[in-house]
Amino acid sequence: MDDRTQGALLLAVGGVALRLGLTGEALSYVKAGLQPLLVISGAVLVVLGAVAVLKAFDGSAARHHDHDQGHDGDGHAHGTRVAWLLVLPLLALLLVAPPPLGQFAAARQSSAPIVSTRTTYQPLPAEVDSAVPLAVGDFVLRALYDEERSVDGRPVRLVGFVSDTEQPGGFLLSRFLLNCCAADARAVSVVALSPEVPALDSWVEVVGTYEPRPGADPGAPSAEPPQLRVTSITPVEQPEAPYEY
Amino acid sequence: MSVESVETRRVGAPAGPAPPPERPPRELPALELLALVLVLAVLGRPLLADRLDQPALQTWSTIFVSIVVQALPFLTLGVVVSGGIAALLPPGWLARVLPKRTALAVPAAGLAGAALPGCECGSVPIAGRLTAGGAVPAAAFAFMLSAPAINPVVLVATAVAFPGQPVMVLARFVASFLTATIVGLLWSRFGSDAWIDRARMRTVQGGTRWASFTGTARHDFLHAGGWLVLGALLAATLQTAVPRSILDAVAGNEVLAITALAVLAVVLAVCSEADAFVAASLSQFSLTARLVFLVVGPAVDIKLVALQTGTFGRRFSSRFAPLTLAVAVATAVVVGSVLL
Repeated sequence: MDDRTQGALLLAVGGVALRLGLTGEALSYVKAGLQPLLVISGAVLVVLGAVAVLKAFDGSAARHHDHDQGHDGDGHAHGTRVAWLLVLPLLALLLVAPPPLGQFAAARQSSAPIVSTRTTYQPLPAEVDSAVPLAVGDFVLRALYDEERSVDGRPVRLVGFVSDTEQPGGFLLSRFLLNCCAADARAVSVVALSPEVPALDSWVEVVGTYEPRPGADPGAPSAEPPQLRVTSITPVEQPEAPYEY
Repeated sequence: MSVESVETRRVGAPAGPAPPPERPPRELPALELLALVLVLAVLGRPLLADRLDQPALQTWSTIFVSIVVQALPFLTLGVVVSGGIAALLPPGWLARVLPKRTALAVPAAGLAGAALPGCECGSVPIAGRLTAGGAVPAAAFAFMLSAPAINPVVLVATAVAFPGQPVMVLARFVASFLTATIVGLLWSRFGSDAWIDRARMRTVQGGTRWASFTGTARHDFLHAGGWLVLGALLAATLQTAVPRSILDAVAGNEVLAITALAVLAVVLAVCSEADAFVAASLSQFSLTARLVFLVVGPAVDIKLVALQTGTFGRRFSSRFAPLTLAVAVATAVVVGSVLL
């Protein structure tokens, strides 16, 4: 790979990193906290690429004059052959733009809720339109482990995707929890008790109330997701930030 | 958008009437090839989109892209440091800074790893640069193994992931530091420098420091980046192919559990800043088995082995990776049984 191509490739990678960092696109793949880092690294790569391209222009002018071999001989070209692989994620991002993880990935994980030893939680946020807006992960933790039982009897509003339509009494509403990138995503789920079952993998906003399972032991790890008695289902667009953190 | 305009502007122009004489014959001009690939991809996009409509392929491509995107900032940090080492520090400086005796230099380099906040993708090019700059390879490897595992960011993440169990942070620090030191010492005793492919670690001598910095950083980025992509391809494939629920079957038996989580750490290739959360979520496993996951992951995983192969050569990585895996598992089991 010659200097021009190296420069062009760096410009392309850097440009895509900038775009991911400056728009919301990165949120399909990584947590929001990485966005500023993507911007910085994109800028660095663009500078490195621009330097290489400019140098190649100078170099090719020089070569036309005196056929100067320069220091980018054959060995270098072979050393960076593997860099061609960088084209793959570029193509994937520019052309395919892989969607955020959805039902398929969720179904491959165990539906058992996350285990937590935390038993105290912040006060619930204020109600909006007579329901408390909560993240799915937050609701699951509060429902299963909160000593104060903060969500018991309170109407809550959750947004997630439908990951299973075959649940007894309703469907599974899920969201992915991210720590760094989609490779470490864990699905958190709620059993939405509802006669109406939306399409698999569609995004919905549900309003409902926590319904403890018979004989549920608050604070003990549960093998099954908490249940939500649903009063309303509204189809929504996939949120710009599809993951919870 | 500026990117594409740069490319398209340059596609036709430099080809000229005849191929430049200094280029070897029959080798496709690389930039034109790059342009061709992009054009074909744009033309084939509808076809591609149809193919990728399958959920398994979508999940695969999402995981693949997200591993690359997530690693990009840390890899950039790594090559900037690596370029800085090449440009600013005189050759052989590390040999002067570190203690003369290998037995002291290796643990010292291992401890120095605590100062680099980042995950494992950045530390491989830095170690390559250190070796190229005349450092004792064993010390550079100790740094490479310890930096992603015991830096403050990773330790804080571990503390957050295991609330109420600060001993997990201590166990991780001790086990990872010991792993780095033991591997470094074993390598200095039994390893051979002949296994390291030094031709891959080219320092760009461009005259000025700026030219040396940009040249080295660019070379290291393209090189390590390519291998990172390869590793991400493999990791995404294994993640999509192997459902995580099969783990539940082996959690009860401690030997199987440790084996399973060691393999999982290699296969998942999760960033070391995130692996504590993954480990915390594997609550069906014992703490020792999860410690194995935390110690193995930043030292040996698929994308790291690919990066190391790219930086030091295949003869190196085919020996170094199994050695590191064995030492990491053994150290984690011992530390885990003492501390946890």
